[in-house]
Amino acid sequence: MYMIAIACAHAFQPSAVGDESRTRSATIFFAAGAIVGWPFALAIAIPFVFEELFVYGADFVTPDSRSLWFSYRFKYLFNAGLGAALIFVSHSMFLLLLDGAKSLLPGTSDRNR
Amino acid sequence: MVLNHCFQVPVIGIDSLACGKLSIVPWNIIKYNIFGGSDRGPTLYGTEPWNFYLNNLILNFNCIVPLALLSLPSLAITYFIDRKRLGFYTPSVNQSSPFTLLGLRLTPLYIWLGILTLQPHKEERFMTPAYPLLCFNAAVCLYLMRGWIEVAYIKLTNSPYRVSSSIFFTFQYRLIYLYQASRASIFSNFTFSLVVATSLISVSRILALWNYYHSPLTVAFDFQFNELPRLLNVSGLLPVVPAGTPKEEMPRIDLTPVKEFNLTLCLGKDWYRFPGHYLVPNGIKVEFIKSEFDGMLPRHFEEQVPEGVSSLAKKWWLRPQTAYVPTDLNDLNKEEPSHYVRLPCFRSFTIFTDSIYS
Repeated sequence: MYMIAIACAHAFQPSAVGDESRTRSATIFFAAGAIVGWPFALAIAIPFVFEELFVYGADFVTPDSRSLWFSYRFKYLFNAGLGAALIFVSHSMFLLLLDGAKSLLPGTSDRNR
Repeated sequence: MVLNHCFQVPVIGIDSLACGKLSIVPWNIIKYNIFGGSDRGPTLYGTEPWNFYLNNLILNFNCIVPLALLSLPSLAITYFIDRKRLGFYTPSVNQSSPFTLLGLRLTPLYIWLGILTLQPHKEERFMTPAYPLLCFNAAVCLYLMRGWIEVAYIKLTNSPYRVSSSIFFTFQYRLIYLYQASRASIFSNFTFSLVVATSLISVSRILALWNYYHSPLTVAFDFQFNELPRLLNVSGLLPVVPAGTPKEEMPRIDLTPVKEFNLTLCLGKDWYRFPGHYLVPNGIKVEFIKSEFDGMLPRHFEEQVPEGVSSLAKKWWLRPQTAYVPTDLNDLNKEEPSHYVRLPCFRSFTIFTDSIYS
């Protein structure tokens, strides 16, 4: 709840080229809510991702600059999102080497959430 | 990226140490709940009708819920009757409309409520991530509604059936003046009265929750501060205090001798209202007895570190018992008889609550 509240406080500002920190902050707090809290809470971030990619937001975009604009927006979200995913995977591999476990995925969790 | 690292590393690291092997708990949650197959998954733990969340939210958030759900339709109404509410400009084709942007900010609540309503297994706590959004949507709706009242007010005061007779002119002029003077207070009173009403109903809900559901906590309190001291007193295990000692000089009651009795606290159908071991004095065991419930109940952690616990947990984790995988637990919510004790148990207290509400 707290992570979603902070993430939305960032995401509610209109998205804009030139304001990458907004994308970064919102992504980080949505991800934190998902990792530390409950992974399904990521569904709340769907409109944010949509706006990030397809809605002009605070930007003024003429038809001929549209593709350039989209590449910027895509880059912001890609950096924020994939960066998180890469760290997640690399750390899983690191910990796998550390304790020499045979399987990456342990048995089913008894947590019903 | 750096900050993200800060969350993921400790989460995976701590979970893996506590389980004694690599554990990515967020993935396990998804795996069990979505890819569990037909035998496993959340529906094992009960299903509810589609209107569960609506009923629950109205209990907890009263007036805020209809406001929050009406926020998106209200935005559409405002678009037609009060377009200037979101700013005094007309967006060009190269810009986003403020209505699109606000609409996108109102959708997460609908998505969340929709997804959860579609799941057969429903729980009150599942709505918590969306509580801030619920309040946000309701606040936006109130803001838009206040705009409608202003529009209606302007319509009314500019109404064509204004009396133009010179006899009434002064009177009517004064009336408009009065209207305008009170205008600000009409609008703020509307929003303020809703906030006050919501707050009053919410506070009465808090009081009602305490009034109707306090028995598990009260029983725990009574057990520790009345029943156990009485037991120690009648068995002569309390220090003898000279008669006439003032109350403030009475020594604090020491409950440590209670463990001599080897007592057990038994929970029947109250297992899910048990407020936790934290409120049970040390030296008293807590066990379950069989009730109508036929699902799986939790077990005790091992007191000694069992065989087969990974050396990772033994070396790096303060309580390596968490890494032990017991054989008497299952992920199918099947009843496990070894988690019960049989009544009548030797030297035990039993908590049973029966209420007309359950």
